[in-house]
Amino acid sequence: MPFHAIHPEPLLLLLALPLIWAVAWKSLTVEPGARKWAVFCVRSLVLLLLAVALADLRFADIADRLSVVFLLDHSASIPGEERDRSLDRVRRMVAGMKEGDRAGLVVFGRNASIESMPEEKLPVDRISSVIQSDYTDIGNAIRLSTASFPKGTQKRIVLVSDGNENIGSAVDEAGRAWASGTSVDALPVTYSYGAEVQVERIVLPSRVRKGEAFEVRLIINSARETTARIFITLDKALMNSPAPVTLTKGKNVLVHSMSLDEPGFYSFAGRVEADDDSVPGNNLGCGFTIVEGDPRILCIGDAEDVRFLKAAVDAHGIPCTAVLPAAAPASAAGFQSFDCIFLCNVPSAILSKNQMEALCSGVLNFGLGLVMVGGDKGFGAGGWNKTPVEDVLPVSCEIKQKKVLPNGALVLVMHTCEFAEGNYWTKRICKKAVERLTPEDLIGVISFNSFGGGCDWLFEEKLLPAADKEAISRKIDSINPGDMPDFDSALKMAFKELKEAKAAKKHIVVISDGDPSPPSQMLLRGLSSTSIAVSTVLIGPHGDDQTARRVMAELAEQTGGRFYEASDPKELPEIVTTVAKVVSANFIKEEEFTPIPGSSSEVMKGIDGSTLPSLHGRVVTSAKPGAEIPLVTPDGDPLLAHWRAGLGRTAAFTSDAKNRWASKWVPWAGFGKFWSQVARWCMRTLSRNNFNLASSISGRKGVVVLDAVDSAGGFINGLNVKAKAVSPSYKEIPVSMAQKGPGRYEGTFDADEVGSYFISLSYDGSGVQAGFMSSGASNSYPPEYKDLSANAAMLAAIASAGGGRVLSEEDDVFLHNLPKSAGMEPKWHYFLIAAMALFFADVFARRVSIPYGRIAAAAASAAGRIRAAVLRKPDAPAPAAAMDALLRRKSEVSSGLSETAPPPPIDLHGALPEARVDLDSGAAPRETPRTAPGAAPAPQADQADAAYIKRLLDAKKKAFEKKGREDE
Amino acid sequence: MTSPGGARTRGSGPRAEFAVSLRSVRIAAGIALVAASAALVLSLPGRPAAGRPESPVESEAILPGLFQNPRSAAVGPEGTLYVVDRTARVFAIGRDGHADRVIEMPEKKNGNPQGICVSQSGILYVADTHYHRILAFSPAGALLGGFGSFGTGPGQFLYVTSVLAPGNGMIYAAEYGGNDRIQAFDEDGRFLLAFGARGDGKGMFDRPSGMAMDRQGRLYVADACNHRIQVFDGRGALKGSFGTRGNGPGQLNYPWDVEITPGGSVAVVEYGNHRVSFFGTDGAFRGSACGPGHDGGMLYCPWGLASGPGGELYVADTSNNRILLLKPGLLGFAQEGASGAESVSCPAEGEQAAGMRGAFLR
Repeated sequence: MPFHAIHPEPLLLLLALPLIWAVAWKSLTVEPGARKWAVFCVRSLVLLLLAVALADLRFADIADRLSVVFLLDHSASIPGEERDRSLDRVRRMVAGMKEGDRAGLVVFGRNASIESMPEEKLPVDRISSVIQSDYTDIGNAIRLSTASFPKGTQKRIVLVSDGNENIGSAVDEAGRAWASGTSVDALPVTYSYGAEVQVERIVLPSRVRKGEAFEVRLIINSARETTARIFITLDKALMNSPAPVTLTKGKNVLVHSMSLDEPGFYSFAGRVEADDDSVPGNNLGCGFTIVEGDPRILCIGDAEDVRFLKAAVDAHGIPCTAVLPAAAPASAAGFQSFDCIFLCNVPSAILSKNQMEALCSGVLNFGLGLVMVGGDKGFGAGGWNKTPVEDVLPVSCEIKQKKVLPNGALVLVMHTCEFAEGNYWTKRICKKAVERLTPEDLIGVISFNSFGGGCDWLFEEKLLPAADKEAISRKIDSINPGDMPDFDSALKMAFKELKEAKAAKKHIVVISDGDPSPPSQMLLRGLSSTSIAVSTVLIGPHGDDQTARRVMAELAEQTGGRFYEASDPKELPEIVTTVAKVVSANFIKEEEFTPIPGSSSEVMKGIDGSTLPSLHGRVVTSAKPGAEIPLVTPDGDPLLAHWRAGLGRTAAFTSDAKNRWASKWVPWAGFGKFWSQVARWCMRTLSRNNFNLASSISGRKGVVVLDAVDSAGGFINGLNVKAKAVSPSYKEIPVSMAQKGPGRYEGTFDADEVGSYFISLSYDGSGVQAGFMSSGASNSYPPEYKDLSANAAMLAAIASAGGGRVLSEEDDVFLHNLPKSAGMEPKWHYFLIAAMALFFADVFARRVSIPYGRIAAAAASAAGRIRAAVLRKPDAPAPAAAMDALLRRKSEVSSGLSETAPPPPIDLHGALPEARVDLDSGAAPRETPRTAPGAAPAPQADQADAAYIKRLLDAKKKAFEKKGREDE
Repeated sequence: MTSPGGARTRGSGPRAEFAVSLRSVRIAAGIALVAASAALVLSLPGRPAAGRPESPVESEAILPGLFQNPRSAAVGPEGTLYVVDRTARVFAIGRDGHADRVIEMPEKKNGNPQGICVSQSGILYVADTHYHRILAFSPAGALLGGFGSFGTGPGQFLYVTSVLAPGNGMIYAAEYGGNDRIQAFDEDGRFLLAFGARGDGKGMFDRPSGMAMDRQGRLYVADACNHRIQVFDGRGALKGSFGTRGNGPGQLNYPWDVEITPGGSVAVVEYGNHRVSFFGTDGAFRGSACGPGHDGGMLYCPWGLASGPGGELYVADTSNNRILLLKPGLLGFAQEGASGAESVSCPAEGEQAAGMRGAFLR
């Protein structure tokens, strides 16, 4: 159809046309005739145009122009010279462009970038877009280019690529493009790497026993015979001799035998260097192995926190390695080389998000054990709430609402405008403080408002419960502290509110450079008498000025708070967190108590729960449903809890293991037994079997193979095997395992990320004891570097899905053989303007009566005069004669008339009764004055006049009579 | 045509009504349209009313862009304007409007000076706040010497904010930081006397940060955090005080500095109210100028005030990074002082009224 309405409903207005005609016919105060018809047409047209404008009618422009966008593949699988050659081929094709056609260029790899929009010529000499070449995403490039076509042209995409895609699905995108009218053709880029040396992979067992000899195999593909140097490194130390080695064409396997004596995690790298190597990016292979020894424990914590624990556990025969928090393992493999991890009184800040995920994944998927030991930095007091680690622990760090606990109220006084980025730090500090408080605590923020010349509370409610932390965070973003002249005003405000607040611990923190005038003694006395402590934090550019220090230190001292000095704004959040913890120290209960036995558990085997020594403090936590709680506090909170989390086991002990709270426990005889039993319960249990689990990654697929053999060497069939692969970004990928042969179970998974994949496999059934095993495989370099030849099949698939074909160089890309596309521009504004113009025309036509006759006459006479003046024709006198005659007649009539009273005007339309003329007495009165005077009008004129007047009077008479009849 | 006319008039009853009602509808629509247009036009956001100073005072920014957070200003005997800002430098701006000299503080790591003044012999005194001392410079900018050290004893300072050399042989220094008081020294920097203590009672201070002396030898102290001006004699005996906290007319909100105008009014610059207020020496409110704003004749967090010989006032408009010159106008500056001094007849800028030179600093 040549036109198309976007919203067809308003077209129903056209049904009102007949109605308009009917109404208009009756009501128009216009004489019937041409004018009335003109008005009708105009009015109908107005309605039509309005309806059409509302319906947004659009007309299709039939386009016969073609736009071609070339997608140039610049991913790393295509060698450099090939990329340049592709650009030349594109330019040659564009040279054959027809008039009116357009060509554009898009360059892509992992991302796509428009190098040149479709235009009449391609101005590109070299590619200037920067794209990531380590992956190939053809689909994204197709999507981007479909958006870049100009309207009203036929659309074609030409894909110039080798077809090796590793992200997304080009076939789907090509199909979508075709469905929306864009055809996709493919122009293959072929290449061959003449001399290419590539490490296919490095193979080594994922677990070896201490001292056991094993082999590290490096598998290398070479395009032809060449010499190369091989480097096998272990944790960066070279293992083999670097003498050159001859490589044959095809697959080469280099073997290096070795053994490791110490248990632990070892990462290997194998590298090959050849003189002529087309793609150096695929010359590295990475792998790792874990040397098993006896079960090992890792204790993470400060020296004081770990000391007693390590000694006790070591004494009971479990090797324990202690590290400081900063040296905690950085990767999953690092954690997995141990069997149980102890977090001894460390805050959550010591582990990055990555480390936490690695740790939790190890527990859930690989059977690692985890124990959290408390102290003043454990559980809630260490900020472990809402962390992944809390999820795997058997206790929750949040305090449940129904417990009535002392809460705190904290007011922050911010005078932080005097140092660089003061505003930014202000916001960070406040947010940090809010984070550390619980919903039962109250928080308020005061700063100086420059405009108003006084201090203001940040929150309308002054003191707010720190419950809706998101909303509070947003309010904090609006803070803009000014330069406070004195502390008095701010402290007075804080004092007033805190005095009334319902909180067990009340605290004010003043962060300032020490310039403001210190508060009055009276206020200080008031604060200390109501136990409101003021801690001060000095930060600012006043360097060594002792007055600043004096002011701030005295303020803290006189109210029982603490004085901190921050030389760098970065220290501020930590300081405030510390203070906030003091306020919100409701997590910690420092009072002596005796543990009460709860449910029975193998952890407490051989230890009498009723005669345990007392402890001097603990962190308050809540038990999770399903957790075992062998020891509780007198309040009913868990002291010792444990449960299974995934494949692993975790435990929580809410008091500490050092002389602060456990001063009576440390010397107790059962201390070592207790902790070693906790450790043994949590530790990963090794499955004793003869199974062999191997996993490897080649191309983009990972393969997992399990060989299940019994002790006699017979195959075990029919096992129920479940496996999971954990990617380098801790994504869990289920691997479905199926039996493929006697005792052999296989499964595959997609391995697109670069790094180490861990495979966890569990099995049961067939009369075997259930167990689990783990293995690992590495993906050393992006899959882009694995593809060494063009993928013609993929290109063909893309072209066919895109309604195009695989081109060769001679094909004319600019053939106009695509279905015509219709581009439609909105035109409603034209319709609307026309409707408005016509509307005014309608009104004009009805209301304004143009005296066409007079205009014509005036025009004619003007024309005549002009003609006369211009031509000076001799018939000029004639008009003069006519004029004379007219004038004469006029004077005669007027002289005749002047002798009598002027006759009343003849009102042909008016109310006749007033001008009633007694016609029965003859038509004399009017006539008489005219003919009475003895003037000598031309008789003919007289007669003509008389006749006319007589006719007029007759007509009047008739009409009057008619009216009289009707009245009766 | 009577019949058609007749027929028309006869049937004109309902039709006439219809015509009439239609007509009135049209009229009503027209009125409505006009009203709507008017409303639309009037509702358009008009130009925001420019901030009007509370009194008609002409103002001008001195060398805009030169200063960073200027804190204090002083006018020398020959009319040179001195300004100290947070870069710890004193700018000397000549009568022609050019910055003639820049005097750097010997140390500025700890912070910058908050007050300066010029004696009638042209010596520039600087209250070097974070170094607990007063420094003296020659008119050429050479460091002549200084006095003061950290402490609370006689001749020691905590935060010294303001210095005044009124020409009666004494140099006054105001300090705060816990030991809020005024100390007086002789011209060699030897300690003479001290008065005041931290508090809000009579004769006590909370951050005294500006001083001025009138022709009768009365010392006016801007007691900033007590939001008042206290008046003493030259030796520290309290004579009176005025001012309560607020932002209404006649109230004060952190009065940071005080000056006596040649006409005898007490001019007070208020940090919290962003304005300059004028009082009689008896404390009677006379008017105020400016208000919060960032351009034109408006101030934002001003810290200092200096009065020039021609009756003009220089305001250290700190947060606007400029010195604002307020020219003598109808109000405040030019009124007769209580002492009945000769009235000032608004000289044009740059002109020196005879007899005005040094009248303030006798």
